[in-house]
Amino acid sequence: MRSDMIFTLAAMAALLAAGLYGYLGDEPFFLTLAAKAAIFALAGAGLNIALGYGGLVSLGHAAFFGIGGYAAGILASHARNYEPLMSWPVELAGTTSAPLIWIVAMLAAGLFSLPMGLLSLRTGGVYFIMITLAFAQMLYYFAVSWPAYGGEDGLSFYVRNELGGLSTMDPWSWFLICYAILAVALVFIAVLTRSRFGLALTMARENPLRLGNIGVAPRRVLLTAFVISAIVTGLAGALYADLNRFVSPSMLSWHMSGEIMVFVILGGVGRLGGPVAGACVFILLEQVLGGFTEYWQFLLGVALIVIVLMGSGGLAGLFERTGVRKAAAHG
Amino acid sequence: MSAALFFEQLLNGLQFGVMLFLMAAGLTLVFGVMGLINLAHGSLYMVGAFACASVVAATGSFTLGLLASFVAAAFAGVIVEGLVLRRLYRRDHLDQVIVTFALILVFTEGTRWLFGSYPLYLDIPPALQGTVHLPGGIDYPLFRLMIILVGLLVAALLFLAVNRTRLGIRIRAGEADREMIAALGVDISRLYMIVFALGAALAGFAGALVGSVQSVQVGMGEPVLILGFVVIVIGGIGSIGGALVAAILVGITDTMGRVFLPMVFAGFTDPASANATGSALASMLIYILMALVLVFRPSGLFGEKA
Amino acid sequence: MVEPLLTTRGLSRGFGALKACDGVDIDIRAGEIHALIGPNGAGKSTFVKLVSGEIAPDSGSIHLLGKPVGTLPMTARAGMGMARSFQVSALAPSMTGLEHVVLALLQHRGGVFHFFRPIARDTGLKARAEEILARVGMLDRATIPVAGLSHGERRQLEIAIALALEPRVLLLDEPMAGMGAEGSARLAALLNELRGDMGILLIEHDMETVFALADRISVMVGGQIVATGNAGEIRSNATVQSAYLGDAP
Repeated sequence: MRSDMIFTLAAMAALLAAGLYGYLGDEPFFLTLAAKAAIFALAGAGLNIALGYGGLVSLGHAAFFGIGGYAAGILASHARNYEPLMSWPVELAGTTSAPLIWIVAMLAAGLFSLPMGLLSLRTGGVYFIMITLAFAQMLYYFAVSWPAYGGEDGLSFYVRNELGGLSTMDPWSWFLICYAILAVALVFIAVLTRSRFGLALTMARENPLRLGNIGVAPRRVLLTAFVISAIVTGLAGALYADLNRFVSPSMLSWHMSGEIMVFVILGGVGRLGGPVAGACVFILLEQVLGGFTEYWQFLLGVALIVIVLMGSGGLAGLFERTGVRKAAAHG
Repeated sequence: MSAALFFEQLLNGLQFGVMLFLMAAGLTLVFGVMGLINLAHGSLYMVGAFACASVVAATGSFTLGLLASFVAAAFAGVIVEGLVLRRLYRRDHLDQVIVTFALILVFTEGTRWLFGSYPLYLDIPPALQGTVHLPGGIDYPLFRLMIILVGLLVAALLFLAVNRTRLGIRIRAGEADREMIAALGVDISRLYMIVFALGAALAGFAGALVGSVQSVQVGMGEPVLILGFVVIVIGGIGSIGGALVAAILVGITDTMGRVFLPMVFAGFTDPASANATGSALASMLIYILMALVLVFRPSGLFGEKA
Repeated sequence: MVEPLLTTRGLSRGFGALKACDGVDIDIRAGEIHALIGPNGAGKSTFVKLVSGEIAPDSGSIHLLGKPVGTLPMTARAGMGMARSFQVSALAPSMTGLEHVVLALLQHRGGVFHFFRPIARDTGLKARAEEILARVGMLDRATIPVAGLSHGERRQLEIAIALALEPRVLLLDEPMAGMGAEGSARLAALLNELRGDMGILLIEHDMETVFALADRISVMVGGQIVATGNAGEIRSNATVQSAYLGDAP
């Protein structure tokens, strides 16, 4: 628990340092990368609730990431066209208010995750993986074939949404917003894992039979974790749409689900700071390896295979082992 | 809607379904025998298609191309199984998912590197071009008809192999109890390799056939992989018969939905929005089908009760 | 007469051709220790699984506190006051003994769907859990993850979890297996203390313990109850002699 905290703080400090470097060195591109890392970390932190703490191998989290993204894109584009979102039964207008958009994105992701989780948890095990993957793909095809919001080409909006008096188009402010949201989410997850629910979730992962035996239905606990997980990833999606001022079906693709999972694996499954470290390393690899070859994901694939086959527990696992070795050397 | 159009689309659906079966059969065999969930199965489909396209381009022989798709996918399967996957049989699902996802990256980017991002098109051999006159006044492309027949033939052979041969008996024993067949003195790692190669070859063969009708391109395998999963969820894990029925059900539902749903909506809205609503709904149809199966029969139409 | 806490009538369950439980009638009365004995494969564990709701019966009825529960899920039966220890320990390897007991306590204290308050800050909960752990002799090992506990300690923890559920009916499936002489003696003493607070169904192989502890004994052979009575009656029962005790070493 303690080494997890230290690792989390170290990863967050590294991300902040990267942002500061971009700000002080006046490199907006670097700052945008740091903001992207923070957003990916948030998406991974969301998945980690289901995957790391609940043991639910979801290959469908792109659905929530994309729903969050489209919620932001659709609300913003309606606000800028002055076309109401709907006129019946009540007239609803679009909005460019970021907090409102975030809430809508979280609600939408949570609402979609509820039936999806109910259906995928009916049998569990390997079915869960296939079914989450399939439902995310359904949403992907829907976004591609539904022409109202750009279909396959996606949807652009020209200005970031508004948050109080802050200038969201300024890369430094935008990075700080994303970073602060990530920090709040991590605190929330830390609290969650130490709560009554967190204890039950651990039991649901490690011994569902026992959980049922003490009067708690494991499926209800897992479903709740899945919905919370979707809500956090949905928020990340809304931020990602704002970052790019663009949403497209690619946010909903199976490849995106895989990438979100990679953030978690690279950093460490079930470790609070895992997704933060994983997302940072992912962006770093993308920039460094991507500089050598446009086929950098080939190398990423090889690296992932090696990491998992060696069973290292990601960066957090590496950190813990060196920590233990140091402690042993001192003691 | 004419009866001829309906019948033609039914055949198209059947063709799609039979190809899906070739994918799903490998997936469900590998899961049933080795307990491995293999996301990279779609990559083997792509390998088959590219092998076929390359050999046809080099030799001009479509038969050789089909043979190459079979051999190349099986070969790729054996290498991947021997180097990577056999280390995963005893790992949990998460490790399997992430490693096979990584394999997709390796295959996809490797193929893009070798062949580029542009789709390749295969020429159907002249002997198989043209249409056949079917009873009921339908002209149906000969090549598509051949795909249906070949697919059904392979399905029949697979049934025979699993139910009538010694290999099949071992495969079924392996599904029932891994320890037991090891105790019986069957070389289990060889059995696994054969099963994996067989599944890979079926996927590669399907890739070549579908690639000939559509196009051969990087990333063509994953949409089919996901449909393969839908087929397995509907049919029930480990059941080859269930996979066949579910594959044809999915193939026909999807094809018919895409053609006829926009027509249905045209009955009561204007053409443009009918087309949009119809095709959007059609794209989700098989997933809705899957959801219904999950509600009423959670372990699939032919799966054993959980 | 007071109605029994738990009643089964004609409870049956087969696995293929084998009838693991074949028309079992058992009553557990308030405050009694009711031992269920029989040779291996007699169907004792199947009976516990049926009663607790882990598996569904083919036929027959189960009443808990006068209400039919045969079709209710495990969680509902647990909520009505039935607790069970597992023959093979069913614990979470990364969680400590204390955490297991705290989790079990939550059932009667507002449930687990609380997301914000840290559980460590709930001192009343912790005190109660430590009290229970002390009772089974596990207090000094309370904060070690289960992965680091010995087999006997896991068995003790199983009992502690069952007690934390504050049950009316307690099902104990070979609780002393693998516990060692000292642990067994302590558990026997604990069961003696608990007598009167709840109805206990005890499956146990050690006849000495059974005859010392049990108020009533049922003998199960081939899925059927062949005799029920107090220790003296069972000792002198001819059917039991020939079917079971006579074969014992």
